[in-house]
Amino acid sequence: MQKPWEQSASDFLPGSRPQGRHYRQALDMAHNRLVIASILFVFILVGIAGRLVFIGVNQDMGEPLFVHDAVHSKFHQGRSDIVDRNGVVLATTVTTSSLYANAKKVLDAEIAAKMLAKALPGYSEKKLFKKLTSNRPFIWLARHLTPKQRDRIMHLGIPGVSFRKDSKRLYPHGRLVSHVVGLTNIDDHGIAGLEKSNEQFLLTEGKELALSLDVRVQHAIRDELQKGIEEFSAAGATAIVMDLENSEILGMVSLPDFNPNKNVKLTDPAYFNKATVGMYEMGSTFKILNTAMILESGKADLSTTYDTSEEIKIGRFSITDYRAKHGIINVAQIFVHSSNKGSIKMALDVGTEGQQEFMRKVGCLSRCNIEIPERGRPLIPRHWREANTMTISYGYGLAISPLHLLNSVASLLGGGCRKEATLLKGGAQDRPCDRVIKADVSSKMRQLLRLVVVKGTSKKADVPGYFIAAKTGTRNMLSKSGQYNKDRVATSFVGIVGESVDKPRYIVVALLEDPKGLKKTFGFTAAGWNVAPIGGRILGRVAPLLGLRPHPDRLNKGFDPFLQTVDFTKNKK
Amino acid sequence: MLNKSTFVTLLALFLLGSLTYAIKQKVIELDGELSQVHRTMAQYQESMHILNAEWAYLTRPSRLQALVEEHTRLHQSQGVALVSYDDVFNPQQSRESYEDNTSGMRLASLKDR
Repeated sequence: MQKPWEQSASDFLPGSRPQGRHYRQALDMAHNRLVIASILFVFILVGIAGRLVFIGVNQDMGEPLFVHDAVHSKFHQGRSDIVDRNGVVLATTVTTSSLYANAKKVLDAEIAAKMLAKALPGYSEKKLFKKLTSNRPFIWLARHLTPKQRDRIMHLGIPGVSFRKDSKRLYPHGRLVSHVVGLTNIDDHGIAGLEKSNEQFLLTEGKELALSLDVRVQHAIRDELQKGIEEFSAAGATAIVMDLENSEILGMVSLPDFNPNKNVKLTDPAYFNKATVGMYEMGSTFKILNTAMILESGKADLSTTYDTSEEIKIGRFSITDYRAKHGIINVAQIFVHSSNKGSIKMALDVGTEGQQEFMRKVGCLSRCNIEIPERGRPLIPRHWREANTMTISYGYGLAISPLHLLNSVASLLGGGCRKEATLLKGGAQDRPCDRVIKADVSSKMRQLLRLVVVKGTSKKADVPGYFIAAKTGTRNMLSKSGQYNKDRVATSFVGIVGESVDKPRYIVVALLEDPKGLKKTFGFTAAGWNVAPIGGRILGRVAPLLGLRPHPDRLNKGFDPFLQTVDFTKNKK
Repeated sequence: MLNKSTFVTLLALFLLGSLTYAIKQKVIELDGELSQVHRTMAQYQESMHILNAEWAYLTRPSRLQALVEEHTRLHQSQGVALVSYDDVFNPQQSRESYEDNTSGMRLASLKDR
């Protein structure tokens, strides 16, 4: 019997004649096509099955498994913290919520404004109503809300009103470190202080900026300066405390100061940093530099004498000594009794060029290298002549900032290597010694300053048990007409505290603007009556705070034998 | 009809496929838990950050000084209150050294003995 596929189409069609070979060919073709189509379908199915297996087994398909909220999956602080040397936070960024409205979607602006004003007591209902009826798709209603305020508003369920994540820079210590830390603007960019100079670090490094400041020392300085301003009705004050071992500034205060948490106009006088930008003629504190200069030059030693009874004139002005020893006196006596005439003669011995070179060496002729942008340039005589040499020797004619005075005196008293104050912890590490004066000259200077405390004008700066060495300076302030005002003075103080003459540790420079005479000062406004006790109190508070023990047995040890033979009593006029 | 080897192969394939799927689902679950832990950690870090700022605010030296002055009779620390080991355990040696002092300072606590 013929198989079906062996049958041709003509076997079935009526009237058709059977054509066996063609029919078989057609069938074969159909069969082949069917096979090819089947294979194609099998491949497609295998492909789909394989893809399913692949998806089932493979993890990373490029699509996220969960919605990762960028804010919540990892804590991003934004701008880094600024901390003091002990890790106390001085500046930080916190995430806040800010309230905005889509005024077009607010259903009842009057009720919404009333409810919001009730939830936010500091906000005016009228202003809120005005914003809610502004018809703007986006308008801020309140910035930087606390979590409690945000929760209160969320519970109100006002349509058209929503929150956006915001960040705010906070300064927990307020005005205490304002001049050093600085502040940021509304866009979180630093505009003053370390916030400005370390902008890149704070935005990109992801770690906190550690300062050399110690908030406890900072507070001690500020507290004493504030009390001093109130006591002497002064116009302002500034002080800096530095560690002589590593040149790190432990405290820097300028009063008046400002609160960086509130809006500050940069033209406000409180914004002015007297410590680094204010230029002052330092008066007799400059005699530290003058005396070190002559001792270092080798042209005199402690026993070299000068005749201070002779009249000295600069132009039409006659130079006098304020309550100093008179007659033929030695370098030690000139310094301890702050003789202007003696200082002039010493400076003239060194000469103008020598004086200029010395001032350059100690850093008094150029801007200080400190890490804040607010740094002033000293006011230097345009033509430095002999007359200038004479006046500069006792602190007039060259105006520098308290920071300049700190750096120069620290270099002279701290062993003789050049010191440049830093505001960053470890900021002065591994600095090589750039010698300014010899170590023994530095020691002699410390001894002389100690004698100023024991026998001279800085008795009120003494702190029992501690090695305190200090020098004061009083200079008349300039009036608006450019003349020196005899009734108004600025007083300066430089002091060091340590265990002994060979181990000085901390230095303070303080300045008081326009202190007034009191009954207890007998009407005098000289530095020994006002800024000296302030400086002494600062040293007395800072030393035990930083663990410096008093060593009363070492106060008089290590002195040059010559100094023990000198008569420091003042002679009568 | 399927022969034995084919059946076993197919069964093995099925079991392996199921196991792979189950493991993958477990990993996805754990990944979800890990994300949740990270989110919680981030929240805690943010809270700690804010608490640090608040701590710095509450422990401002001016505030502490005001509180001490108002509520206690404590005074500022003086240098004379700092003593060494010798001052306490070798008082004779210590006394000899400070009696040499020409500025007149005495350690009050030892003088009172």
